[in-house]
Amino acid sequence: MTDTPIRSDDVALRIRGLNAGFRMSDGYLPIIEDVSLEVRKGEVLGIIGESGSGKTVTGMSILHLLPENAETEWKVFDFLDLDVTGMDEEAFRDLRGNRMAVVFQDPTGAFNPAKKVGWHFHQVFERTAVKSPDHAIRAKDWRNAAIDLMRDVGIAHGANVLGQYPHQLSGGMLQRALIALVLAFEPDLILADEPTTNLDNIVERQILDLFRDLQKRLDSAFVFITHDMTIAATLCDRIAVMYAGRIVELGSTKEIFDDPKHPYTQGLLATALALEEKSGERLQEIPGELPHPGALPPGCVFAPRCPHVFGRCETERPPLFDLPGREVRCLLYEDDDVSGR
Amino acid sequence: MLRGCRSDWLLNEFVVRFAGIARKMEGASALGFIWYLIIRLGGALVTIAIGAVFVFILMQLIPGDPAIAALGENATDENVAAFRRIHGLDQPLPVQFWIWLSGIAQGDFGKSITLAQGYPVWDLMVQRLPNTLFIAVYALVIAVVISFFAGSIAALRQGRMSDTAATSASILGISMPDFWLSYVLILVFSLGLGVLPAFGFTSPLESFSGALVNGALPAFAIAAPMAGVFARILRAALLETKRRDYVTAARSFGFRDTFVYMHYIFRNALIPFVTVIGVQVRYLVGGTVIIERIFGIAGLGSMMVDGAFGRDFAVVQACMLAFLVFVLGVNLIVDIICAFLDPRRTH
Amino acid sequence: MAESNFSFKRLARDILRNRSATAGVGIIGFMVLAMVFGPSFVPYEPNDMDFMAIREVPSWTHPFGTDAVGRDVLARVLYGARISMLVTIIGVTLGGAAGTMIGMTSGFVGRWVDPVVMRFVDLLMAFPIFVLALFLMLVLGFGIQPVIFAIALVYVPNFARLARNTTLAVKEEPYVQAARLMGQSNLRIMLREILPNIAAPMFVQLTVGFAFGIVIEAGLSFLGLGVQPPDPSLGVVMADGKDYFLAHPWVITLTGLTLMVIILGLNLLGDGLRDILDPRLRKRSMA
Repeated sequence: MTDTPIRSDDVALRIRGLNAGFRMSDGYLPIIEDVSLEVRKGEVLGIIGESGSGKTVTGMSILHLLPENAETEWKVFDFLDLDVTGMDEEAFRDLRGNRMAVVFQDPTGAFNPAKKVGWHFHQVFERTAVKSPDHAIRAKDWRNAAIDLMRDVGIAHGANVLGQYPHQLSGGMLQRALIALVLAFEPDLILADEPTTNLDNIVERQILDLFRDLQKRLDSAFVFITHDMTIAATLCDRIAVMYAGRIVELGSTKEIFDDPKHPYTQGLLATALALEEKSGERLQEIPGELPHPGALPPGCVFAPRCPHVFGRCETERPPLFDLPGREVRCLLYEDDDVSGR
Repeated sequence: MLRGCRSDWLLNEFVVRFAGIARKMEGASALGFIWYLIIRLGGALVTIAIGAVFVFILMQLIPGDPAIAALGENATDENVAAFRRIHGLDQPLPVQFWIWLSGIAQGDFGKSITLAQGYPVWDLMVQRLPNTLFIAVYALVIAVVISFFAGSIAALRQGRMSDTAATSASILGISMPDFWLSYVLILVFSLGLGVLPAFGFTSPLESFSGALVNGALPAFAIAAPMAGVFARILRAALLETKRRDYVTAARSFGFRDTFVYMHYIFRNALIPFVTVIGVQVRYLVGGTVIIERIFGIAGLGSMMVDGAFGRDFAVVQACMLAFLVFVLGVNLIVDIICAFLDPRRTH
Repeated sequence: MAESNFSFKRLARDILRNRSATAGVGIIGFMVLAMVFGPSFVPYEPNDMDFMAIREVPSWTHPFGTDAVGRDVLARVLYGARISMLVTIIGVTLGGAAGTMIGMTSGFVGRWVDPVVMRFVDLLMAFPIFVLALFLMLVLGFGIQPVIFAIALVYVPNFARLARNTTLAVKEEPYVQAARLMGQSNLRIMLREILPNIAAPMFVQLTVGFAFGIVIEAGLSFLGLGVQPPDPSLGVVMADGKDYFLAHPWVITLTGLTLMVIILGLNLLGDGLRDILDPRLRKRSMA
């Protein structure tokens, strides 16, 4: 990655060395460590991992939406041409919505249960009104703008939906409405946190098609969090694989699927392929379990489950090695590191 | 605990069944709401009717002959008989009940037996009801206002000094017997600071501002314990709604903190807050009974106490019904507000 | 079979860990000690009148001062607290027991019994506290026993409602179904399976009930409807002091302060118990 010069106006988000954790009653609990990501405009970066791997915390860190007892720190955090590091609460709040937005996993939790769907659109359009005179005009005619947006996401009778309360709509409908709300902002970065996990299969496919369509149409950068490799394969340009709060592999989707380097990625792919191709074939499970954040093994976090483990793995924490077109956090590739570490 | 509107209302089942019909009209939700109102009102009226029967039956349990109570032990048999005839006490019970009920419908609660012999109870009540009502509402308003601020501050600054202070004040407030607090307030404000009068009360119908001044101490004495309860409920409700996903979503839209607080956090915490007001009315009215005595307010509560001492059954009966109607009325209003606030109409 | 995971040691440990409960226990413990042993330390009887020392301001000989007929107020308060507490505890427990039985039965039996019973409970609950109490005074007369019954009556609906709701939740549990299938009688199931499992919130309600019950008792006695003078109860002592309050506010103020401390202790204890018995609300995993 680092040997390809990147034009800075292409990069929507650049994060280096992100750590995050929670202050608990019995001390500090680190959740993610040394997370580094880059997303370009119009590109979809997938963050893959099991539940508990820290993907949601990573996502929420990007938007500074962690709960009050969370602590985050980073070495680099650039959003578009801004260095977020110096920003105060209020300045960052201004970025949310208009520049970066979230599509949540549970759409029923994203709406105010006491207000109609139309109220949400009204407030969102009000917020965008400051962007430009055109936006202000559109905000005045927000009902029609909302109906148009809803049509774009596949809601045929937007006018009715506007008058409904969230509890009156199905999960799939709400998710579409939420996506429409996010689109109303026209954000530069869209974070989707497992947006289809709570939906049933048919609706899931429709929403994924919607995302694919959006990616083609819009200039935004996407960060797509999921645990499902097959979704990642069809939707994402590049993938970051997370395990126990660390990124263990990062690269383009095609290359990772063709040639997964980290043993964990290999295991994930093997499981996914077995599921997809032959339902009769026995699942190759990765033996063992995800370690608890407070009880990580001393060396490489994957060592206890790794089929290729050797001596040093259990005592040394491997850094993220730079390979051509790939980053891997595994001692097996130490010699392939091109960054001169 | 903190779910939608809890309606422990009589005739719940019927209402739920009718509410099913109302839900079908939900597309035109204004109409559905009016329908809901009608059902609720109807239910309340039936409840009051049942309550009236209940009160009447209860009154029959009281031992002693009201005639003798009024005329004294040495009254002659003829006088007793005459008395009974005048007050309709010689009729069979269902007839008495019917007379009473139909009388009420016309605003006639019978005549006072001992307190003010022969005087229509209705007139007595009309004189006193505004006072009691005024103090009760005054106290409620004070309690809601205080608890609104205390609860909000405690929730927003959770864990910090202001939270501890507000929560401690709430517990102290709840622990204070209101009649004791009355005296403390008198001590501080009347004797000490000489700001507010201790005794005497002008009817709000005569002088509203006078009533506000005179009623300040008694209203506050009643309000303090209630404010403590409300503040704690509000704090708990706010803390729970603060944790909800929709708050994170709202922040992700970049809405300002005050906006999120008002429309997401506070708005959704209102429902349990309002509900608890309905539950507390039962204790609110209790406060007025004693407080009226202390401050010398001519209200329904003190009339009932006098009636109890003087064994004036007509007065006691009428007061019991009046208080019942008051509590049911407040509960009805609370239910309506809750239904208005909670589009899910969860029970 | 329902396993009741109860041990006094665990309860004690949980109480100590919870600030509110500890404070409550501390205050109440102190109060109980004062009530039980206090009178031995106070050289006066509550009804001893001393016309040489009327309306005295608090001093070393009379820490709470004296009232209009020279009685030592501290002695009266200590005895009065005893009586008030006893009346309250008996009354609330009576109401609690009755209410729990009613609510549990209603919730367990269900069918048409439940709605009917609950309607009556609701109706009872719609009466303001003192209205009910006053009414009962009319029926039973004035005095200690009627007050006990009045307090009991006031609390029946609270406990009935709570018992019924928790019973409804517990009713569906597998061990209850199992007991039914085994053919155990309804009464047995209620007492052995359901009661232990709804006991916890009942205890919290009991503590909270004591806290307000004592206010009811004091209020009724204050009005003259409850404990009859010269027997002291906290309400009676306060009533004594009210006629000359403006000149000599000590009687009411100090008596009421004592009452408030008792109530505070009970409230803190109730809060602490509620926290302890609902620990799941406290722990929230953040992942």
